[in-house]
Amino acid sequence: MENLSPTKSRSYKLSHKTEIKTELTNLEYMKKALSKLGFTYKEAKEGQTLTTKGNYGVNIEVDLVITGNGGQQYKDAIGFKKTKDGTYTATGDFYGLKTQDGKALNKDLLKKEITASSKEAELIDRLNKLGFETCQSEETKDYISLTLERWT
Amino acid sequence: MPHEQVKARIDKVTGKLLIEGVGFQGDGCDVLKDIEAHLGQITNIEEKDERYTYVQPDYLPNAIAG
Repeated sequence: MENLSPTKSRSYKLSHKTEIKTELTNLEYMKKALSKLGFTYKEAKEGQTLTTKGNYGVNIEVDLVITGNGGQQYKDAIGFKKTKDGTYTATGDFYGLKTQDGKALNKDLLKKEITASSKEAELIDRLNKLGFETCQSEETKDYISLTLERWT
Repeated sequence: MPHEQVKARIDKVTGKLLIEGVGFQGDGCDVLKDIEAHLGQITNIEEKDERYTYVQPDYLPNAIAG
């Protein structure tokens, strides 16, 4: 009788490494933006190296790694790395990541939300230093609107 | 005691930032330009006088009579 070899099942694991160039240059404002959007993160200390740990082995050295958003754990899948021109690049495996309200963590969403919130944080910080205080703030899906005032 | 106000609108889709200053006078306007310059490339500036200097015209019959 012919000896049949057992069927071998194959599973393919695809990595989804994505790099998104942002306009962000200041890590402090970026951290404020991430906190505002509910993201948790780890920042590399001096001499420390952080790497992303995507589901399928997308390991990239980064300066800051995003660990989660609300109740969602991202298992260090994505992070930010400073490039030669001083801007930060978001990089990692975005596949399957969701925000706390169940939406897919789309790379465009991440870029737009973080860039806008980072600009907001920078604007507020610069104006606060000049004695302005926020008196009105409004945010919709498409824009952030702010009013700051001072009496001189 | 002058009251100065900065209104800002950040477009999430395009990333553009629009800043409008209300109540700034003289050198105070430079504050806005400095902030804008730090935040990114300035693509458009519009300035509008809040107060107009109004010169009382001559009384028309006198002007005609010369």
